[in-house]
Amino acid sequence: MFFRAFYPSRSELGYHNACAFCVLTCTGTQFISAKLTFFSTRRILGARIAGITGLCGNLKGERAKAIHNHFVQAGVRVEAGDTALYSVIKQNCERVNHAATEGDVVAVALPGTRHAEHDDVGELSCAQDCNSNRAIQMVSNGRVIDSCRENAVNAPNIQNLLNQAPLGFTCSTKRFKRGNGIPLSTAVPEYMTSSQLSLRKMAQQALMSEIHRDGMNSKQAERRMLAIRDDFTNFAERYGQSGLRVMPGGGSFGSAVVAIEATHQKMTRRQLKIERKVIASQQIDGVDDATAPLGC
Amino acid sequence: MGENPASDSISALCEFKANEVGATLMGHTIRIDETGQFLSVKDAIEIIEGCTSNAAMLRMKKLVNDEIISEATNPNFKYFKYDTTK
Repeated sequence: MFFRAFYPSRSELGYHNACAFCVLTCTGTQFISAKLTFFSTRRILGARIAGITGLCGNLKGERAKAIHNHFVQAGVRVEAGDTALYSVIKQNCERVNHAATEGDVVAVALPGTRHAEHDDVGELSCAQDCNSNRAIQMVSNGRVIDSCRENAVNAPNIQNLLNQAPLGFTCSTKRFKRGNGIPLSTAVPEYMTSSQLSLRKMAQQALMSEIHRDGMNSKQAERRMLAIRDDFTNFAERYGQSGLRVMPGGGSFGSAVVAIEATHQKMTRRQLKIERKVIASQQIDGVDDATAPLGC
Repeated sequence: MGENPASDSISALCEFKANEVGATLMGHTIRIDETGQFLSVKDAIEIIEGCTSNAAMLRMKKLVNDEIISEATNPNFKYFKYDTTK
């Protein structure tokens, strides 16, 4: 007499830990039936629709490619705050409602700005983060330029490649600026989002560490920088961070975050002034009460 | 599906439709969790790539192994329970 049970394979069961038990009915030596009963549920790896579309970048086929391209383009439009998109209008509306409920005066005053979860500017904390990245990136850039001079490396070429890395263009920076309506006097990093600034900063650090470690000459450094640029461009493209994004009015992210922080500081100063006046008036009232003659 | 701002137009492109009965992606039935937020990744790969169920499973395992998708680090991906008795 032997028992024989048919268990489903892991692939048939879904992904993990499916619960199943086997009911065997046996008479004598003959195996009669094996019935599988699932009394629980399967665990399935799921994703939101945005996750599925993001995943299309790693899938094969024309359809996957089309979805991925559309996803990236839509993402860029959302990043740019394209008010023609229903989702952006809805998002702004929700943000203003939330801000009005929470009493966030700055947020109410800036209804055109975007949501913190998805964008680089808009919320004060995001603006501060972006500003901080700008400042660090600028300091780091100064060091890169100094290192390039010390090692006789062509600094403008390196700068060009550093600009190309997060934005994904391959022409010269000047041509890129002309093609995209960026003033020639404005630095390209001013038009980078916080994530892109971080990528540029990482590319700078990668190059710096290699120049110092290996004592590269000019050609070696440029060759290495080309490889770093390609790596970062691929990374940015894969995770939807590539491409130039501008604020709804066509301005740069840099000026937007500076404006947001300035507005906030102004509001804070005004608030402090009001509070000081209130405290002062309370103190004066207290003094008046204490010195008021009896019977008045 | 209002989680991601881009999801409205993306849903249209993917021909994703969901109702109380179930959900379809490009005209094919796709498993979906009870809240209607999470779609089965394996089913989605199967539909988008037009491959077999096994191939989709292998592809998904590869993506998990390559850490392109994972439950822990990306909130877009999460395991959900699916009632097989439906």
